[in-house]
Amino acid sequence: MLRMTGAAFGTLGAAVILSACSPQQKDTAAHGGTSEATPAKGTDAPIDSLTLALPSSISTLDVSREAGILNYTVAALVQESLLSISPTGRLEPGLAEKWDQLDARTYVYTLRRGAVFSDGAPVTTDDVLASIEAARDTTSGLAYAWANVASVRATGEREVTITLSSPDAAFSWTPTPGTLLISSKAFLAKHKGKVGTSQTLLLGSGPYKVTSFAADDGVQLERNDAWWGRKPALRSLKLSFIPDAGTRLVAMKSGSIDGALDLPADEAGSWTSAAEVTYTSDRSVVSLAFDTSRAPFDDPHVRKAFAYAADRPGMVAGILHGKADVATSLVSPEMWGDLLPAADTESAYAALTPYPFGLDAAKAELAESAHKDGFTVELTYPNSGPQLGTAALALAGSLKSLGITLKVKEVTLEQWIADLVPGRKPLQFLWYFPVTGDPAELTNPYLQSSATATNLAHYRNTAVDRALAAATTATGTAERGRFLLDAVKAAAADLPYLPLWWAQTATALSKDVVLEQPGPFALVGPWAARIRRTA
Amino acid sequence: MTPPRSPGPGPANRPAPQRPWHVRLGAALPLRYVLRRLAGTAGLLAVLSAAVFALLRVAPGDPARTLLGTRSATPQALAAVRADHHLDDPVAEQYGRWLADALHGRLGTSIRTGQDVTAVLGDRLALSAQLVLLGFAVAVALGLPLGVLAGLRARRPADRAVQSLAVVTLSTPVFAGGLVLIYVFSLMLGWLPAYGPGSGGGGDRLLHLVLPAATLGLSVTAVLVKLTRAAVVRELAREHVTFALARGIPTRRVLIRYVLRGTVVPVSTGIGLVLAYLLAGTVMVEQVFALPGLGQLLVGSVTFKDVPVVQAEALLIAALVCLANLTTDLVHPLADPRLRTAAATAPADRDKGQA
Repeated sequence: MLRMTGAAFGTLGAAVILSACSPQQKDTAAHGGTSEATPAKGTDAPIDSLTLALPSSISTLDVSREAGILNYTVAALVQESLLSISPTGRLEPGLAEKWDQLDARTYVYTLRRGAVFSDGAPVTTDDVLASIEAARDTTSGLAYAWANVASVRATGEREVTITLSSPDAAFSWTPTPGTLLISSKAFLAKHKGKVGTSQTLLLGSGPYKVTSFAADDGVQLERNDAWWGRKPALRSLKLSFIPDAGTRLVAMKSGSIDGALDLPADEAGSWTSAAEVTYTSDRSVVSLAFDTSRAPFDDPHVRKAFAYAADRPGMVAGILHGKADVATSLVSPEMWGDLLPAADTESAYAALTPYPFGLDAAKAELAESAHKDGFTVELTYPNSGPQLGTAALALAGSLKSLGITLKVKEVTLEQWIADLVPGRKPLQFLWYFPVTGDPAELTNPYLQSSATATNLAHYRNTAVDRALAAATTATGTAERGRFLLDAVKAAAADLPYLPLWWAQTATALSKDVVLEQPGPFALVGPWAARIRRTA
Repeated sequence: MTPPRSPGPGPANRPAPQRPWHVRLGAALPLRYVLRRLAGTAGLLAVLSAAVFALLRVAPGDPARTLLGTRSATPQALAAVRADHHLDDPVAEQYGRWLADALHGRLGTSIRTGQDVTAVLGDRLALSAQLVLLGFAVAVALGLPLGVLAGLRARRPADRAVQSLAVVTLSTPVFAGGLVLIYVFSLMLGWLPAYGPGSGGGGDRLLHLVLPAATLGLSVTAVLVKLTRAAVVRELAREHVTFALARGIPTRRVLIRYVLRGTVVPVSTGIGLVLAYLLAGTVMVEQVFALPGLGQLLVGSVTFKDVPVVQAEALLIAALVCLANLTTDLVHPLADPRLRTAAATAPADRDKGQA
């Protein structure tokens, strides 16, 4: 159940997933009309204020209550974690200036000197302990990430030691903004249960402080001059929640806003006249999950028939306007950046069975199965993802000629998340936004047979299990990466999941300003501190 | 200038002495009638409150889990929620406690944010009330005169023009109408802000509410136009109007004293309805103009199954609609003596009513 919560929370931001603008996109995924080949550079000229539109409201600033991507976009400007994730997805220092792994179960973090909260109080080990305690609390939505932690202790004036119950190489990603944001002990005690409301706001040590927040209206942020990092050029930032696409565009054209984050693919095109629009991979994956433990999807021929019947290039071109990539695995290629050289994963992914779209091949596969006369199956999609619904209808059209009736049904996001449990439905969408830069975030919950609470496919393959277990205790990163890649390759041959696409999202900024060092993870960090005036 | 007189002999033929206002009010609105209407409204509210309370119970799944929201449902957390909300008590007792709390303004805690529901509603009530009142003002200011015009010029070009316009505004979806207004007045002319509630209250807020209120008002103007037009046409065809005109009473006087007075009841009944429409219309308008009001809160709370907020808001809206209806019920006998209950009406008033 634990990792699933992560999936559920990751997907809460589904309708509102943000991406950084990425003029310096290094992966081939970017083919945005206005992306540039060279890194965009800004000047140090101060920017007094900016107003940016967010496509949906958040109801609280506290990510342990509501962990959608938009919540992180705001909170990561205000609060920091022990470690940070670079825009490209690498672990970097945060409030801890260095960290060591003493043995398979013990991690030691040394706090930065001189870091202070925006109220002037220094960041101490007590604050870190209290923040971790809050994240582990039963009322916290982030508790799943800390379930394997045996103890958290202050072992020195600036030293925090975390001991695990059992070894887990993926733990190094836990004290990052996705699952830990640090506030002061006094603040957490004073506002217990009410952190992040319009009255209590947030307290953190990040580059900005919140001065006001109103759900359905916006968040006002001011620069925190006590931040330890390089002084941001932007002094005052207003994030306005403008849910209506038309209003948002008119607001941009009339100069009421200076940009917008997360533009839907079909909208982004009309923004190019008013703003600089950039696209970046958000590492999210949209996939079908087959329950391999029961009919009809226990039959590999049926799964293959679905794979041939799904016109994935057509979906990417027609439904996502080319702003996505046909997926061949749950793990998008950028997720491997920290573990393996790009060439290794590229060649491994290229060797996976491609299943090109073809109804004849699909019919041939179905004819070999035990269900050659077809069957009826339901597929639900969340109301926040209309593109999933359109894709499902396209698939239903292809499957009809095979005699398979696919009943496509829209449900609320909440309902969809509630049903995202193994055994609930024979066929499901798995729509996942990773919050770490680690492939294990996807492989462990969805491919491991022991992950009974999350493994939607009921997938069981001893070779995959062995590789994943080996990765958990592997010492070197490359070694660990190879084990994980082995698991992904072995699982792909069995097709428990049919990956459809890896998504991209669009960001529009006024031509006067630029976001430096964008990347798939830019918005889960102090992104606004990197906004500069265009050189 | 002779006032019209009733045809038969009776007390009204004597010049009636002017009675004090409270006596006249008492005659128009007898205490028993007022009490009966109040009791009716209270009864309706009681039934509604029971239905609203039942929301949590009839929602699928365990109420404790619903109240936990997205937090992990550990046995301890579930037990804490059960204790906090007295979920193990008899249902009648829970309802009594909930109703007493609601009457004292204690509406519970939002599942989504942990905020006090009363504070959440308070923040938004002011904005939505301003929006609804301004929208109402737009609807009345446009709907009544245009309706009268259409009624007086029935089946002539002016009538057709007004009615066609009404059909257009009625059938334009709010999000489209709002966008057109934003496009014209914010982007092309640059007169008004495109979105948001403005900072602070006063002038800036008013400026920001002009377009939303116009959008909201226009969406219901047609209803008022139709009601007013129908009432005017009906009144014009009445015998006492024909008779008054035949007697040579100036047209303007006939219009104001007879025709418009006759339209008060049907139109004010319609206005109660229009207020309910306006409350519902805020959902879309607030979405288009990015206004943090009750409408957006309702949508968000329903989507996220934030039951305490949904309950509080449903109760609030139900109470507002009931109060609007109560007001129309109480105003009617004041406007039209024929609607005063027979038993409570003095013979003098009955005669006056026929005048």
